[in-house]
Amino acid sequence: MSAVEVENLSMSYRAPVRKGGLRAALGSLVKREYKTVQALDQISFTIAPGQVSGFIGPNGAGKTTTMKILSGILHPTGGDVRVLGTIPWQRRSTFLKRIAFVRGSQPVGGSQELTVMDSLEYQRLLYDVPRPTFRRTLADLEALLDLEPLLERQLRALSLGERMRVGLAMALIYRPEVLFLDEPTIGLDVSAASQIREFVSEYVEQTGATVLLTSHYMADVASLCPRLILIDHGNVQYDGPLAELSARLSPYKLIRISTQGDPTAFGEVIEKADGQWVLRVPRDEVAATTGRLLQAMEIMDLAVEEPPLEKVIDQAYREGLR
Amino acid sequence: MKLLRLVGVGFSMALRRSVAFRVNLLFDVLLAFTGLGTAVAAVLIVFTRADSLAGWSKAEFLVLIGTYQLITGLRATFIDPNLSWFPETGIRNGKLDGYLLQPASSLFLASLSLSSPLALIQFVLGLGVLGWGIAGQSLSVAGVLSWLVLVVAGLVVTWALSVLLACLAFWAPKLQLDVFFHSAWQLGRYPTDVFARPIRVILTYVFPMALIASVPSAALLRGPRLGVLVGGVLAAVAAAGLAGLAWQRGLRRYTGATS
Repeated sequence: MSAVEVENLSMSYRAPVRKGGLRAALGSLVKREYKTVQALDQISFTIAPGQVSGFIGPNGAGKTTTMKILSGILHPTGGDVRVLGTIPWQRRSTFLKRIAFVRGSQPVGGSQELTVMDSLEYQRLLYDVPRPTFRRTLADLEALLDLEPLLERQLRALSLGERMRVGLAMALIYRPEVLFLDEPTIGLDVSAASQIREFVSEYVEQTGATVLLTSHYMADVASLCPRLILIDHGNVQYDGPLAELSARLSPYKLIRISTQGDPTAFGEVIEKADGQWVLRVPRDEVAATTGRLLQAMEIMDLAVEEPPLEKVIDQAYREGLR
Repeated sequence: MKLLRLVGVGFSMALRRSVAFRVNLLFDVLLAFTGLGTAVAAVLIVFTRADSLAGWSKAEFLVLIGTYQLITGLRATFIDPNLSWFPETGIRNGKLDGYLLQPASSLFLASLSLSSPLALIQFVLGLGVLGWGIAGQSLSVAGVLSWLVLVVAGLVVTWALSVLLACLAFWAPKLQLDVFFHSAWQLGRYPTDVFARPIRVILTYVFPMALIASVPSAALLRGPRLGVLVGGVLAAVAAAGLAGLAWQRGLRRYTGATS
């Protein structure tokens, strides 16, 4: 059985529209015009238990809406969804105890005057976590997330990185089996972000949890997600391994060489600076070109690289996938 | 049971939070005294000129004000922190999304999980005025019991009205009728007998402020009437049912407040 099954999921809503200006505003009093916004248009995918999938797409593509539907906050307008075998928006307690939805933009809700420990205690009561289990999980989380210095602090006094760590702790204290992470590293500095990434991969390894993660940072996706689901305009545009996506989008590889000579004849030069050259070469010619380069010229250093992921994704967002 | 424990924990956490602000505590006490003091003073002044007002004596008026204050105190403690200005404080800042993820009734979480313990001062003062009013009156056990039942019914109706008002947010997110609700609430502190008939009918059947103070006080002072008792309980059940239904329908329409 799959952990997440989504079939022909659609979500549309009516939003009032009017032109600018006073006249149009007054006009809309009498006759209101609506535009149907199709946030999701028949998207389908499934995620196997224990799989970590990256959910990417430009702003407004429908990622957060999908996650809200999968975690039971919103009722979709069409399609079938099963998460852990149940329909999310029925919001059964047994289901809600097995999932978590953590948002980087607002990692911790509730009263901001409470201390971290008070909030965790409240979660324990809310999610009926037995005390011994609670203590054990808390000890694990303390070690993994470096929580100890935060436990007695008030939520409102935490920095962004600390809030995210606390947000994760609050969500994971009841050991959910399915984790929806919506931009968990948004706004974090490099080391805070990598700490969150390490933590997520550790949690997955320990518990076998299923994860669906959205992020605009390709470092998150590249390090955590063997599989990518790319949505745009409410449709699934790509579903598969990351390497395949970049191969499909960019039929080139980059050869970076250090040489005193001029390798212009071997490929398209896209960068050059004091003896450093970067050549763009079709994927299937990389081996042959490298061989010829090494024979024809005096090369001090050579590396074959994938084009930067950011560039590949940027291209996918702008031009779509063919 | 779990819900009661959640309220308990929430209350204790809120108490810890609010005793930390001593100046706030002082002003809350002062404010509660002034609010109630002016209400009582007005009654005392009126009764220097007359022995009864629309059939209510001074002591009876005090009972009424006490009951009204008691329910207002409970409302301010347990309901208002959750539901007042709901479109702004409950929905737009994403609190509702959080509640919907939690494994407990979302209606309970959204309407009763927060409390502001300091407002209980109003409740205590209300009890005081009530005691003042009933001192020297002869009360029947049946009267006291029916007062209790009707006060509970009044509380349920109060909760349901607040929920219904909050549910408007799902249909008309810009509409905030809290000011209207709070002004209408003030009408509860007078016996319905003082109003003209049309207003009396409205306050009894449409917007049942009569149930908040007039009806329970009359039952306490003049003995229970079966019809009123049944009517009060039925009103509570119906209002609660309606509130639950509106909440469910509202959530169905909910399209999220944050992106």
